[in-house]
Amino acid sequence: MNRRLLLQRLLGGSLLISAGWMLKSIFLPVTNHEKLIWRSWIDHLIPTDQTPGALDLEIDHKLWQEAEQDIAVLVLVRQGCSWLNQVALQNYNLSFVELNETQANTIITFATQSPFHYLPNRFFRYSHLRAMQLYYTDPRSRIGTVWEQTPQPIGFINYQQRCTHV
Amino acid sequence: MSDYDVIIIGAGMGGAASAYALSKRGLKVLILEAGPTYNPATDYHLNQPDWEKKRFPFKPNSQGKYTFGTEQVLDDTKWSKLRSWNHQLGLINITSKRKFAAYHHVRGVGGSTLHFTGEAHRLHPEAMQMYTHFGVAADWPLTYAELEPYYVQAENLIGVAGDNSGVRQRSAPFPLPPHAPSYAEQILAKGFNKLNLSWTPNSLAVLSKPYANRPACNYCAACNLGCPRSDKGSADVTFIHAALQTGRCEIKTGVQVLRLETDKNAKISSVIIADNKGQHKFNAPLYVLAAGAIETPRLLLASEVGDDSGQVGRNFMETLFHTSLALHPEPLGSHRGLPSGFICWDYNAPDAIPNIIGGCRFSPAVAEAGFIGAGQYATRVISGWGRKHKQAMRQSCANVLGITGIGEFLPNKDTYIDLDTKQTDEHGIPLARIHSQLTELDKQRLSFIANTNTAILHASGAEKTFERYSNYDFFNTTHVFGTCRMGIKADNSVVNANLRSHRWQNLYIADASVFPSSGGGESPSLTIAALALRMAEFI
Repeated sequence: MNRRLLLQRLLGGSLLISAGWMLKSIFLPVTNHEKLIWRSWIDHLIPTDQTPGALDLEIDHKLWQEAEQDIAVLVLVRQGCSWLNQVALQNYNLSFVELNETQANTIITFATQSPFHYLPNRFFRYSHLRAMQLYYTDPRSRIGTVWEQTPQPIGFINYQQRCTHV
Repeated sequence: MSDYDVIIIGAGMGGAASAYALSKRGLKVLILEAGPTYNPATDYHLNQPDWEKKRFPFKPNSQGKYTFGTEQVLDDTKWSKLRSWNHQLGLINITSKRKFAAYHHVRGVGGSTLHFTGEAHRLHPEAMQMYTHFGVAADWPLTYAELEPYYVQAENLIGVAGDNSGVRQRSAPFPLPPHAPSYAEQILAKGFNKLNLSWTPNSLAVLSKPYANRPACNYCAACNLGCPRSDKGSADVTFIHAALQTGRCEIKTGVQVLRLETDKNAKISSVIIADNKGQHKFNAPLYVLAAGAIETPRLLLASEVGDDSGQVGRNFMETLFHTSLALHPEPLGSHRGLPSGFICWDYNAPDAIPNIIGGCRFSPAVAEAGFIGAGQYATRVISGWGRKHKQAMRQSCANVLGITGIGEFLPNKDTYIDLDTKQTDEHGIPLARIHSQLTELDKQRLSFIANTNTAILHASGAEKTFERYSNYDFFNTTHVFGTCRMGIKADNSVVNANLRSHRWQNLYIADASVFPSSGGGESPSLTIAALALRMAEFI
């Protein structure tokens, strides 16, 4: 499947963004707090455990830079961060950046279960897709996986045998 | 007086095989190629840590530009099960129309063989007589038996590995033994066996042993991303290499042919080209056009070098396909091996699918679907996020199993290439515009393929289908054919059996645009090469 198609598909609902939010997201300057929410969100999607997390590989920073190149993506990201913080305040009386893992996961679950074209779902699908793609193209992310070895230069001479990984 | 005997436009499989055969015969050949040259050892990225991100290294001018006609309205009341879908992403095309996605190709020395899987197929003989036997498409003006010796020549030069007990009549064995199936393919083959479907090692332009100073394959499964070892027989490391060794072949890259010029004697007199130094004119006694089934008619139409048949650009055929992907409980390691190590030809004959004209084939699809790297698994296979997702990635044994069916695409009046009336390239030449519509018969064939894919995966023990995609709801093609079809009569075909233009005495066409029918899922590169080798004997 063509990955660009997937991305287009994911962003296809961006026209549904309300004009007010659109204008706000375009013209108001980005705050440090927004960037901290984004950083926290990416950290929850791909946390550090026995292997590096997304923040260790600066995925949050790279994706933010990417979003700045495309106004539709930047609007989606900023709206998503605003939504995260709003839900966190409503439910826990805390900013999203202050949530523990369990609390954050509850909000992420809600985003994944919201209607397909609604902001939370679109925000999750975009950031999940791009964060995973970017993260797993870095070899440090693949330590301990079956994909640790690059295809070349030695290939897979054992290709006829059952996989012994894990 | 020209410096060259022949000018060939395009350095894909057709142009490359033509250049080899003609230069070997002693003719002085000039190839004009719009794209760049690729150096397998330095241009491909498979040994680099971020290989999956870099994919195939498209360079500037390595892809042509084109536009699309009107999108077809989808008939979901009958065919919704053919919709492209992923378990994490839902429907891939959420609209009610068939979206134009892409014509996957490479412009450069080697053409689209630079990113092909290496399938080296011979056409089914009956698929060359579709009009006589079934009243559809058109007959080839030559038989399989007439083409067979040239298939042998092409297989020997490329170094094709295959099983001599295969389905086609052969006058000589494959030059190399077949590849053994991967572990994942052995599991998939069990599904075929359970359904009483036969399978055979795929005939591949991938070396199973060292051959012609090229090493054997080491089974990284990434043929589509460019082979840095040159064990894959793309046109650049086979025919072009051999042509250059004659000392009578020259290639100019980065050269866009703007138009063909004609004289009063029904001949092409010259080609006008543009490169980074401006516009130039080249001429030679003979011209071979081999720019593919989209660019070849574009150049003819833009040059107003038509013919008497009105067939230039008509009869466009694309890749009819359906792919299903599922998870299997076995630790497969299906990121290893070859993209398409075996093949089932049981439904390849034009009348093999019950009550549906036109054949198809089935083969494994894991690598071509992209599942050889972690990134695709993380986004398309493994659900969720956080620690659980990371743990699932570490525990995965790359256990995706996939199958693709590719079927005959019959020409129809609404599927063709013409010139865009508004958009032009940087030289002011109108872009090719692709019109594509699936007929009811195509959808029936697609439905048969989809159902068979599901049955095979289930029979092989796969548990959960997580993705299906097809060209029902997307124009998404690799193989293209038919836009300058060959035939006996000048009133319904563009070239004759020897690929010479009916209208222009010194113009030959040597690419898949001459195919009168697409075949039942055979990959076309070997047939293109065989036709070009045969053409060279008649020039």
